[in-house]
Amino acid sequence: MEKEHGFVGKHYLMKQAFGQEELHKREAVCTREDPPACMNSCPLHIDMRSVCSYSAKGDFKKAASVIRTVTPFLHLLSKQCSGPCMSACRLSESGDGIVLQALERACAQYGGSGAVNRFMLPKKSQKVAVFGDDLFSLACCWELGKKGYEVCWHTTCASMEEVLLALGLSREEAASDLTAFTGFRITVQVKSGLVQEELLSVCTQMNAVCVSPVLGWSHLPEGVYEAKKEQDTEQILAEAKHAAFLAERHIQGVLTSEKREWKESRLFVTMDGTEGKKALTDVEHVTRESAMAEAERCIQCQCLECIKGCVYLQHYKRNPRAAIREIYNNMSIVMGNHMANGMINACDECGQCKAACPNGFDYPDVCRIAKHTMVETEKMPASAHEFALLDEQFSNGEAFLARPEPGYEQCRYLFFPGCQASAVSPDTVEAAYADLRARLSKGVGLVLGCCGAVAKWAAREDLLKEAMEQFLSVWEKMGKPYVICACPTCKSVFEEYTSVETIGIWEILMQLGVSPVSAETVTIHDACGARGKGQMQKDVRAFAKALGCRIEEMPFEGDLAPCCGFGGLVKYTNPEVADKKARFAAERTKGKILTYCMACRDQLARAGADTCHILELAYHVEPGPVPDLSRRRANRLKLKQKLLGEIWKETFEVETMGEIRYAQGVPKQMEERMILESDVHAVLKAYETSKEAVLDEEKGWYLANLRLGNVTFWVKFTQEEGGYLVHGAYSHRMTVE
Amino acid sequence: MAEKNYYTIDPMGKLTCAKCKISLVKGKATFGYLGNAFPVELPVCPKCGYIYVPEELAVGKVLTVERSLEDK
Repeated sequence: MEKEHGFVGKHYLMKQAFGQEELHKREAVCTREDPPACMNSCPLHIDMRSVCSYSAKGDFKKAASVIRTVTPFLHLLSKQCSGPCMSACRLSESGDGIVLQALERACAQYGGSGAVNRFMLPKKSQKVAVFGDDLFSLACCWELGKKGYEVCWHTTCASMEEVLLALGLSREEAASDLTAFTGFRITVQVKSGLVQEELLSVCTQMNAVCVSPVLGWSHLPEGVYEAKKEQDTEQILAEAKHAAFLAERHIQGVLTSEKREWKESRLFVTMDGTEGKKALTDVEHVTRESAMAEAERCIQCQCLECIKGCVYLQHYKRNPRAAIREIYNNMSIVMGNHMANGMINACDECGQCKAACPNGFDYPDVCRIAKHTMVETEKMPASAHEFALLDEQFSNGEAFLARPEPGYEQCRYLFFPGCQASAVSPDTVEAAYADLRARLSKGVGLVLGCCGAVAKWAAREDLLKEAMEQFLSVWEKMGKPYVICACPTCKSVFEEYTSVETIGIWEILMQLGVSPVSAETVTIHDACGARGKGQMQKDVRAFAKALGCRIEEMPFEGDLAPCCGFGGLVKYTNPEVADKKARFAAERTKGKILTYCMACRDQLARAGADTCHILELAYHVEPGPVPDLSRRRANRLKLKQKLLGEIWKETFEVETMGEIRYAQGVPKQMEERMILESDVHAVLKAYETSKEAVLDEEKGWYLANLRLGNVTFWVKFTQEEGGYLVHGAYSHRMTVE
Repeated sequence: MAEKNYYTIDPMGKLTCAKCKISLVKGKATFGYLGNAFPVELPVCPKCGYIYVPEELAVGKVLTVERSLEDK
């Protein structure tokens, strides 16, 4: 039956967010896999960064093996390499570049014999002939032998050693370099002289031929490859590599352009804090110690701009380039475990990595796309954002308040403090609203609610739309006023999804006039909502200065400021990463941190920082203790109740929870398990009606449960006069019957 | 073949149903999540059928299974 619908087994919802082509395009923005300058300038592309890394540790055997994977002629290179990498080395910008010849010498001296295990050498049936008496032809023999071809070397030399001796190597050195030829199928045809006429007959027996440019032969037939005549050893070896490559391509029947293009490396390397130093001078008498010291000077060119300030990338030990491939695979699989779900949901989409990247690699965008895909294909873990979304529902439901200023049906302004301000510091909201009403004419309305950022981060477009419609309906009723935002994120959301005119409270207060209230030295923690908004960052600093503060900048400020851990709902999806983020943001300075986002203020305070919101400072509100999840909700309700009563003379009943006390450690446990006092209250209320519970006779407490939405809550309690004492609470999402 | 049980816990007479005032006994129950079902043996009231999920199970094995099923 299922086959009739084209499905086999379970019905899977699939959606391809983007294809491989786009993945490659996105990956290509990152330059971390571009070669370092030394490697890029080397005709042989030897990974000198790794050579330096191993040499600095004194592991010359491994360092030598890095060179020997590219060419066997280590001794020859160590004596005759012209070292184009030295001038290309980024250290040469402020001092001397690394003398890699010295390291090549050290590798030759201390790197062992270079003997290679040829157990896995492929054996190919095709044959290649090489003509020549020089290094080029010898190198061609090695290149082709390594590829598994049978090689016939036509030469006037009596042996391979003769070529190397002629280039100035000792017998021991030549023997060491030639150990790499062991196991190759190379036969030597010693001739009295090499003539081009011989080529034609050889060509008929061989699949391809390489000819040394020194022979000066011209009009070569198809399948015969020579190279440019070069002087420098490394260039000759590179030419041999290329000729062997062309010969192999000919054998494989693949058309290859003979043109080689040198590409400039895009690898971004910051030279901040790098001091120019002198290089090792006595290359000929290099010792193990002097080579190690020279290698230690290497700064291991790599781009870590995005990772430096991002705790999330450090936590997952990923770079964005590698991570987007994992995310792509995570989105592509139909069955099996989606291993990257946690990583995707732990990105706060703050944009710091993008701002830090010299090329603007947009990692958060991929996470955003992935989250939307997960929601659309029903692969978003149900537990990831539910708590936060219920909180938004609470802000825009029970705790929602929208009123024009008394005496006005329509207002010129609307104050939107944001859900975090009402939750963390309701006194500040009250003071700010009173101030705005007193100093602004033509009415200042008030909306207490959530802008929809929670739904946006959770990739729930339906709920975002709902929040927008709710806000726009009250905004229109109030006569489409200017919206004064106290939160940079709310401001960004309104700007992105609506056409309302917004203004930051820091801006309007500056226009109204600010009196100094402090003479403290503070550092400013820039909010994610202000990233890329230089003017907002400047306005806030001007506001802080007007309040009397002296501002001291700290590392990672402005567009490079780290997220406090609240963004992207990471606080709920991955509390461990959120805590690490908050600690990193808090520990950048020992002084006082001034924030202009209430979520930042809350997160930094949790991490132990001496912090306050700029409005708390402006309105002399003493930063209170960090509210737990239940207090955050209670604060919003109390604020609504107070403002309705005092300003609009309306009553608003807040349901009391009866006498419920919590044993020591229980509130902390509930906070960690994201269980609200209202959940406990609901369980106990249900128990009062049903009397359904279990008595644990050993412990002496009762356990009652209630299913609320998608979660079953259990409460451990004892009854006491007039109420309950709660000994613990836990929950599970599974149903049980 | 005996039915597979993913988890078994015996109340050992230490748990009582507060409503029926009788001891819970080891009984059959089924955990369900995202279309998956797991037969288990949990303390159950033999009279009213009230099922008790111990804390160690809820925050341990149940949570682990919930998370792994969510990532399927």
